[in-house]
Amino acid sequence: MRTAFAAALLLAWAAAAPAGAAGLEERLAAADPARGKKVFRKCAACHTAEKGGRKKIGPNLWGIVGAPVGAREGFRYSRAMTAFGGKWTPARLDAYLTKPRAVVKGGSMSFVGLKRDRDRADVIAFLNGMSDSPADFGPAAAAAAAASGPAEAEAEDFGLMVDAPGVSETFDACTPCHSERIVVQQGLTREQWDELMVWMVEEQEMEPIEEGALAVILDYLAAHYGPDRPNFPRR
Amino acid sequence: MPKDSQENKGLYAWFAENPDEARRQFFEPAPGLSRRGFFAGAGLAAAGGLLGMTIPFYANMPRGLVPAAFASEDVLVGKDGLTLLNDRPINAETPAHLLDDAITPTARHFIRNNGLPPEDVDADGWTLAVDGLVETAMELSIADLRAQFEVVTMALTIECGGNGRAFFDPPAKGNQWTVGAVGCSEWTGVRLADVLKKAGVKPDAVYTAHYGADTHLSGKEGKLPISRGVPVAKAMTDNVLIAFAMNGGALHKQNGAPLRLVVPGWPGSCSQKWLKRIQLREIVHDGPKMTGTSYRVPRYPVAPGDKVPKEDFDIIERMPVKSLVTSPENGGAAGREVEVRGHAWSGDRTVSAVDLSIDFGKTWMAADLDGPVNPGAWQNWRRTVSFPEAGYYEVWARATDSAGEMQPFAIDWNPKGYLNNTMHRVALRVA
Repeated sequence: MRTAFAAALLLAWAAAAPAGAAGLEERLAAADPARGKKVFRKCAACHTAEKGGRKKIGPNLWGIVGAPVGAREGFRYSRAMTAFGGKWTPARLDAYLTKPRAVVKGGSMSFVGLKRDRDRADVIAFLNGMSDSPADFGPAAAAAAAASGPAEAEAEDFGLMVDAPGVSETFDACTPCHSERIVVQQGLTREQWDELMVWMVEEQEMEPIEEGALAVILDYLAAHYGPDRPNFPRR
Repeated sequence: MPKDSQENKGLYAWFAENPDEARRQFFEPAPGLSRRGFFAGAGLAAAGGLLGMTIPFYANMPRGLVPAAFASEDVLVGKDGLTLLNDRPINAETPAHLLDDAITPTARHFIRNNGLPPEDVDADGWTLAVDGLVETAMELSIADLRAQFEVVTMALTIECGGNGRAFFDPPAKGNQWTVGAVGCSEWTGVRLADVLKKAGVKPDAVYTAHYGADTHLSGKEGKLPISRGVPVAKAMTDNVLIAFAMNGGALHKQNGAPLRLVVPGWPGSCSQKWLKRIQLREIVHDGPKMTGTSYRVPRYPVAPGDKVPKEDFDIIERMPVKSLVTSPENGGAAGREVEVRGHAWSGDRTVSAVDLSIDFGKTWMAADLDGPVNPGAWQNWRRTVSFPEAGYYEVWARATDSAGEMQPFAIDWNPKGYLNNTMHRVALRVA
């Protein structure tokens, strides 16, 4: 129980007063939906967001901000999610997206979470726009946000993956379900990586990656994680 | 915030039941209330309540500071010195020199997960179903297991089928284990054979099927990350345990708490963790990681890099003869005389000899080898070795088992990177 409390506290604390960052209200007021759309690529392996989009491993997310939890027709939710109940308020989405499996214990979403406050605010703002009736996050704290100055330029975090062309596509395609640590241990030819992707789709529930993106990903993997193992993790 | 709600139910339950109130209290402090004031009110009460104690120097805490107790999430909590290969799912091995104990401490037992462990691993209320081709299907609590069957404690060796994969060339896909995906802890539980005898195995049953409570990485409801089994004859061996204690204490969560199978000497994947169900089947079990080329090797020798048709693969059963040097540590400094020691094991067999060489295999000397403390335990060995002069040496260890099989020098390469039982080599700088 103590661990659960600790996790809950960490999230609540981080959401209520994250170090050096603004609270959720302020973050949402200053959020950038266009950037949120990019962040959503991490979600797109399992979710569509457009109106009438199909369900994938996860449900379609059109109009999800403010919607009842676990209520998408035709989608089978875990008991944990149904029990979670209530509505997807921005605050709950913010907490949930920080670490889904700590918030909805026993839920199906295995996504590790979005650590950065700004990523969550931006993706919530993006999702809010994907709706027939977007909520007005309002300029309540816009002044405070503006006073804090422009956001610092941030490097994207690809974990142990080599930062090179294609890393963003590869990281976003692989890490919704598993860590990049298993990727960087491998030393496979492009053909073997291609076979691995087929296996992921056929046996491991991965959504097929469209051809253009797949070529980018395979080029990246073959170049940096080939049989000669140029980037094998040092231990 | 209601005074006792967070202590009794946890913050998230409270959020779930009172989303609007929670939102107001946590994200919209009352007008005129400074953040410090806000935190000194509801926020601090929540923080203190969830910490389980007050924070005496709260006034000194910088705004927004996350308590160090919660600041990082160590996926290897309760483990000591393991090398993390993967954090989702968690896979971690033990450096050879940390496997020096005769019985592997819980904190030093490797972790091999295929999916995500269940959140709820409470032993109370945990049940095990035994069904399929049995006379009487059963559902047993851990208390039932303790009450109805003889409880035994045995030291049992579990080794991952892919231990040693990191040395394959060309590489084989999967976790790149070096030498430390092996351990021999003391497991307490009941014999699988006793449980199956009570259930009554029907004559047409040929294989067991094991099911755990872990979930698939995709999150797809009902999809199993792994479900393997063993032939009924193996299941009836009296050192195959349904274990509920490890080294006299609780199982580590990542090692399958509160209940797991321990099938010594066979690939670790046979030893289903978070065990919920054992089914008896009339066919070789076809669950995830039983089919295709998973835990299978070609039935004939192949050249490194060869492509092998799927139908030419056999399911791995016993693990081959192997040994490990656990002291001295690889790459360390040593004097002219050193005690070299370690363990040796061979699935379903015993080890009859361990020999050491300090001259790259030209001459060999026998180590002093203990018998297994029980069938399925690894065997400990030691030998004091003298080096003729200062310089660089390698100590090689080579075990020979009761069937006369010996560890090879070169890897018997196979496409999936299993069963690397080549000799362990330890480098020493002798002064």
